[in-house]
Amino acid sequence: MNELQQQFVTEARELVRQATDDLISLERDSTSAAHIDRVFRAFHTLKGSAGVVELPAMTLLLHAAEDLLTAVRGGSVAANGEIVDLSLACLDQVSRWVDDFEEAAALPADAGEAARSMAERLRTFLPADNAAVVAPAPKVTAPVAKGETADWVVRLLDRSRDKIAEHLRSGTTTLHSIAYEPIPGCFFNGDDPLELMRQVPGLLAFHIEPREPFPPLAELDPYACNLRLQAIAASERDDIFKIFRMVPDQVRIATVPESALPSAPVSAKPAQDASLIHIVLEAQLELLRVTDKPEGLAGRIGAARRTALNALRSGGLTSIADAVERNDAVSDAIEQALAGLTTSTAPDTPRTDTGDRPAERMLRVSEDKIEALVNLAGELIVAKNALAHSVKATGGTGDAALRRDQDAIDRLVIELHGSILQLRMISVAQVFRSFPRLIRDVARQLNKTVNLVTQGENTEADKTIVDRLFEPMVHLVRNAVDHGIETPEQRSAAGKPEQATITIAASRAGDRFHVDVHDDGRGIDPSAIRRRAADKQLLPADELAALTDEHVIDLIFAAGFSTAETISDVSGRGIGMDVVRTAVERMGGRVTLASKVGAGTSVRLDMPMTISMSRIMVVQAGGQSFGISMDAVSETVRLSPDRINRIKNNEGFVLRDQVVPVVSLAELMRLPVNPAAASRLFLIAESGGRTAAFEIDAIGERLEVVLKPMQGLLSGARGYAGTTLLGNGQVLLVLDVKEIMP
Amino acid sequence: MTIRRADDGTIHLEGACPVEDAEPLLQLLLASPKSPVDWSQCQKPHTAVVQVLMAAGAVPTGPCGDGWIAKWL
Repeated sequence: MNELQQQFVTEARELVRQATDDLISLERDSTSAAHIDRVFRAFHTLKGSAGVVELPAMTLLLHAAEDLLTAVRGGSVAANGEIVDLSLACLDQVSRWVDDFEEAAALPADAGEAARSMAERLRTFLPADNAAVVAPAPKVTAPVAKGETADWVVRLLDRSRDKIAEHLRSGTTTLHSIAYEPIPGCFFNGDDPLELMRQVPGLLAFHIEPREPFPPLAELDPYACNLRLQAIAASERDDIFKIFRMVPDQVRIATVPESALPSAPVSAKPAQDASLIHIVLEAQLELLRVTDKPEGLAGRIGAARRTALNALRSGGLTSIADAVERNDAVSDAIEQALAGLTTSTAPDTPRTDTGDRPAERMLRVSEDKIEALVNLAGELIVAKNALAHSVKATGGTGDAALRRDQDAIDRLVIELHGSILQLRMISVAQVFRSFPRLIRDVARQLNKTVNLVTQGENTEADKTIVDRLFEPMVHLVRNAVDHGIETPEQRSAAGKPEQATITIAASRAGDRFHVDVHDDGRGIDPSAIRRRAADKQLLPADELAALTDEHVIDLIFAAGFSTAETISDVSGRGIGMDVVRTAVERMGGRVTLASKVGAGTSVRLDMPMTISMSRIMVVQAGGQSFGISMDAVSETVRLSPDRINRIKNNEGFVLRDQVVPVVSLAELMRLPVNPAAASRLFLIAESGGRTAAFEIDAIGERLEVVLKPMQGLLSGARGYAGTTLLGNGQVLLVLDVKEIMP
Repeated sequence: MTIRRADDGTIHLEGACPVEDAEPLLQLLLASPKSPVDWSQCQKPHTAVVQVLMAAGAVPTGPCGDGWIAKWL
């Protein structure tokens, strides 16, 4: 695939996503002109790009969709659910084709047929008369809002008022304005912007100017186009568009409204003033250049200065006038004033396409490169730890300079690592973006109406976390729509608005990252959970009876639990919430749930901001070192043997009124157990709501490490979270507390 | 070569001036910024060539050999 095609794939995906968002917003607020415009523009740009990479099937389909959107925009067709459905289906199709195109650089063989049949369906929504006259040629978006004409158009019209007046007397063709801003690299694409302009039929006015002021000649890049071409032409829009069909993204064609035509010179006065002042100043310069009559020079200088000042001041250009007054060299001053005049009245092309988000300047870097950088920084941390180890090995006799250097390297490495991890921080917006569509589809399927509110979309977290967030959130959101939210009838019977609200919010709390999913549905009834848990025999009856309501609700996270009375397409296959808990815990996170019968349910995912660095504690057991994540460690205690009770085969002790079972880490790892000492050391760990005391021989240092998942033969080994390299080159096994919990 | 400097210092643009001519034209103008430019024999100058003239603030003498350019620029 060449660069152009690659760019198309990236942009097309972005446009599909954007159009999807806007379509859903449009459905919510079907009268919003801004939404309609944006949807239209996205489809239009997509169509243009598909044309550039020569995908006729895609162009055909998008063209049909665009016709329908034109009708929606014109108000002859209402943007109802069906039209949104169909447009979304159209985007889905485009999205699949983009995938195919990326893979095979071509569309599948049946693409033409699929495009035709879908285009037919789209056209059935068009009003009869409209469907008949739909022109095969592409339509161009009119960026200028009604009743509003860009300043440059007014200026150009004014400049060519004679020609235009003549045209108006004889011709009947509508006038169109053409604003063409070639991209800087256009010369390399083989474009010759003037050549395109040359082909425009019925040209009435033309202007060319630099887009940015030209740099000094020595710095000019002759092959970077820095021009803006503007024109007024008496020709059909489609004819103009045909000429610019290869650069649809760089050109804006708009109809010149009659109100802007010279017969009604509304805002032409300032331009006229400026040009008048220009003429006056130039005449003064001319006067000063007359050198063959030296006798009257002093008088001429004075007169020229006065005239120039009067002209400038009458035009309200006092600052330029003041500059002229201060400058003794009159002709220089007037020349400068002329230059100032050109800039101050230079056509300021306003962005007419209101509602367009300003383009952020971004650098696209492939994920692999970032990943390589993260890995290198990780290794640098290991090297840093090794250095610390070596410095320590000098036994404190190492000189101060060495320690100072080591401190500096420590600090820099940590900072570097932090900044590199920042590169991996992305906002959750891209995950949140999928939900309006998902909720809409699920809700329509279930005949429910749901409004989605998203908050904190800009909250950032590590890419790995954000990527893995999607799966648990899909389960949560589906559950909320399917189980949480009542039917509109049930809702109105309960005195609630028929439209339910689901809120998805992301927020930061210290170095944690929270995602809350809240619905205002029926809430979870603990007694229903109790019944279900008893039916499924998840717990013995007596244990179940002893649980508090909060703990009972927690049971929905248990594997194999499903409360839905019927198994639906949407959710309720007996998996879901346990998947959520597993997925979140795998990221080092926690899930909590709060619910109130009749009022709704809130689920909070509490996750670390990054998972690349873990804080671990090194412990000794059975003569070996192990790492344990600090997140799981709540405290360490040293107890005399008499505090420990033996209950059958198990040991345990009471800590703050709670019985804590004892697990010997050495025994667990099948290592020789050290003979009992005067006091025993325990590490109290918590996971999944359970607490245990792991008996260890000694506690080592606390480290910030880059955890590598278990790989190769060991990847299936249970009980380990991963490995890390210690400063002395030793590989440390880091335990997964959740899996070794008794 | 469609860009050349005459003995009197005038820079001549002759025939079709394609995109490649932008660079030599720029070099000539850098070497002598005040040189007069004659484009009366020029046909269809490429946009890049016109851009160099604009950036240099050069006002070519005589009407451009290309009717469209002569009319609109």
